[in-house]
Amino acid sequence: MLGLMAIPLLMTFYLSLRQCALEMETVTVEQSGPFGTQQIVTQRAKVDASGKTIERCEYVGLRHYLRVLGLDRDATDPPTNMGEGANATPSDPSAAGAATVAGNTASGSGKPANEFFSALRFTLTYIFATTPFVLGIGLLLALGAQQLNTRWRAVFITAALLPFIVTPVVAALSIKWLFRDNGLIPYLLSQIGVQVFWMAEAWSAQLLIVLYGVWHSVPFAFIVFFAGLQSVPQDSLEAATIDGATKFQRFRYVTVPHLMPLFVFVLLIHIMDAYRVFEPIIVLTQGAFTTSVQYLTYHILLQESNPFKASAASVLTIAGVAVLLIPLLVKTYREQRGT
Amino acid sequence: MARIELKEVSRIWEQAGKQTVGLKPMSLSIAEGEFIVLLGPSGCGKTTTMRIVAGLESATSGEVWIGDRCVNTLEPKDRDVAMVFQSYGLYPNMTVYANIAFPLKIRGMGREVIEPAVQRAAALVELGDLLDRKPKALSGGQRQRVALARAIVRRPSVFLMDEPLSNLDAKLRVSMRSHIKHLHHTLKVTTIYVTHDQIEAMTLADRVVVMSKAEIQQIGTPDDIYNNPENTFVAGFVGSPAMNLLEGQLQDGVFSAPGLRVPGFTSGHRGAVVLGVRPEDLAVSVASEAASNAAESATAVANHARVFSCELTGEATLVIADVGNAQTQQGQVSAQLGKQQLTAKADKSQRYAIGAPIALTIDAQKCFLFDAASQKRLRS
Repeated sequence: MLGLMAIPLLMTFYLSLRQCALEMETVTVEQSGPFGTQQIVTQRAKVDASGKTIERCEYVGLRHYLRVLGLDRDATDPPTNMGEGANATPSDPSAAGAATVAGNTASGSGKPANEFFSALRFTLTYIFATTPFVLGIGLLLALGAQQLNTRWRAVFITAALLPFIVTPVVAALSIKWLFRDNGLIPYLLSQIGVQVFWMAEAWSAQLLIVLYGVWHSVPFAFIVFFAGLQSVPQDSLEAATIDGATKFQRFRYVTVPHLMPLFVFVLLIHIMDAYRVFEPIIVLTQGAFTTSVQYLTYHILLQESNPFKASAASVLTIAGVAVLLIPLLVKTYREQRGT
Repeated sequence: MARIELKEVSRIWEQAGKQTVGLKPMSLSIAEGEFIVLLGPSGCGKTTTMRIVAGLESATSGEVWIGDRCVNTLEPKDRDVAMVFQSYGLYPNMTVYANIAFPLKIRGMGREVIEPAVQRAAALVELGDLLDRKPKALSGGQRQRVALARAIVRRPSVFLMDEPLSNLDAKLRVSMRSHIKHLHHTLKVTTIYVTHDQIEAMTLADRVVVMSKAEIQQIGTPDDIYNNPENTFVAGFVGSPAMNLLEGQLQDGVFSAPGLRVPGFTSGHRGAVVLGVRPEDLAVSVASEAASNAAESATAVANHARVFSCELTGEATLVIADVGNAQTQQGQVSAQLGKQQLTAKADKSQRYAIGAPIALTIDAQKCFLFDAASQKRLRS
């Protein structure tokens, strides 16, 4: 079990320390056709005697890490990377994403040096902005569902779970369509004289992403808390009633302590989940105003076509989530051992 | 300490147009300091009755009086009652001390009041050295003692106990039973105790209220309930092993059922009756010997009984006998008539093989007669 979990991580770590590239050569090719002969200068992979391409790998130490973190002073791509793939355009990592609105925001057009930290900053903002709402609204919904009679409760639960069931990309798209220019909500807002171009500004785009995060994660918190509410010890509640506790005191002294382990659980899961925020960023802004650490890895992998540097970004991401979760994990560990 | 008066209290649940009667109108008055046990099988309404007194359930009709107040409209916390639950109802996240202190704390009392009160209550149930523990770290008996202490600490005028010993193992139950009895003797608080265990009822109660099918079957002292049952339900429910109840005919002072004949009744009643006899009032003897004595003896005899099973309990031997099988001599056994079983409590030294023929002797003076139709006791 531990091996299964560790092998991909170690593999990624191993990759992140290396740099491989095919050995390329520049050749001049003569093409003869009906209208004469043409000479084209092109690059192609060198082949050895047996016709196989030659791959050169080297150990680069922590260089990828430094580059992701922007600490590498001469942040130029190593020449070996130059010819990899015809579509590779080694460039500023943010250029592709920010092409449409280049220069608008710090994060969008920042130097490579800022890239990782700005991604990390938004990811953390996202986590801290969504978590209290997810926990709070989830608990309120659960308490609300508890009050309903059986028939309405089923309807309520189904409706409340929908955002959780919908595929993240589709969910993000539906938010996007609601808020795009001339969409339903901007139209309604314009009726009362408020005009906001939601996708065109950093603060509103980030707000939308946070909104999406809350909307998408609340059902999970809701269903976990609702399940927890079903198992609140009735005897203790009634004992508290007779002991003289008011409704709020019963909630405070019996229900909340009973739900406490679930709060920690939802917190843990939500932080892990929020740390990987990706879909709303690619759908809502294409990384223009905001990047998350997950998006950054994706960007390095696909736009820069550098799996080794992407590995380094992944490892940093994992390290980040580990740091975030350590306090909670320690708490859980202590509780489990304490019993 | 207070009197409790239930006046025509009933409880009906309505769900989706269907009515469920939880409690038929019942009246009960409980004297100050009395220990009342509500006894009955599950679903008989005993817990409902208690919950109505506690205020956790509201009565559909009728009035509940505690002391000189009608408490129908009062919140549970204002009724001055304390309750002990079957599964303890402790607050798992609090220490034993905090659990016991909770009713006082919630009423806004100061530390200087709470501290000595908790110590006193804990000492009464011998919990003094466990105050820092969490309920999780306690045994079942200790948890129930915490629940008791939490009930005591407020000095309420009524204790309500809802099957407090049901979750404990047999040995603990006996010791906790004496604990509760002693506690009641010390505090002299009016107590309503719900149980389905007749031994708890017999040992603890000043008076027992036997309930079944949402109504009271009989109210009386344990002695009354055991020796003077009002109907077949009470007769069959109280006592272990249960009283034998045999259907048969009474004519001219003689009860007869297949394979069984009991003369010597003074009742002038005739017709279908149910005969009740306690296992300890049945004498077992070897068949041949009894048959010879039968002629001269005035006591009733069931000859030709066969041992169905023989159970040793240590203090006695329980003999379960088929009495109807005697009819086999007539060629066939009708299932209806042929299957009556009697349980007899014989001396612990006696042993009978299964299938062995035995004779049973019954003294008519120790039998109870019930009307077959109404199941009520027939008194001569």
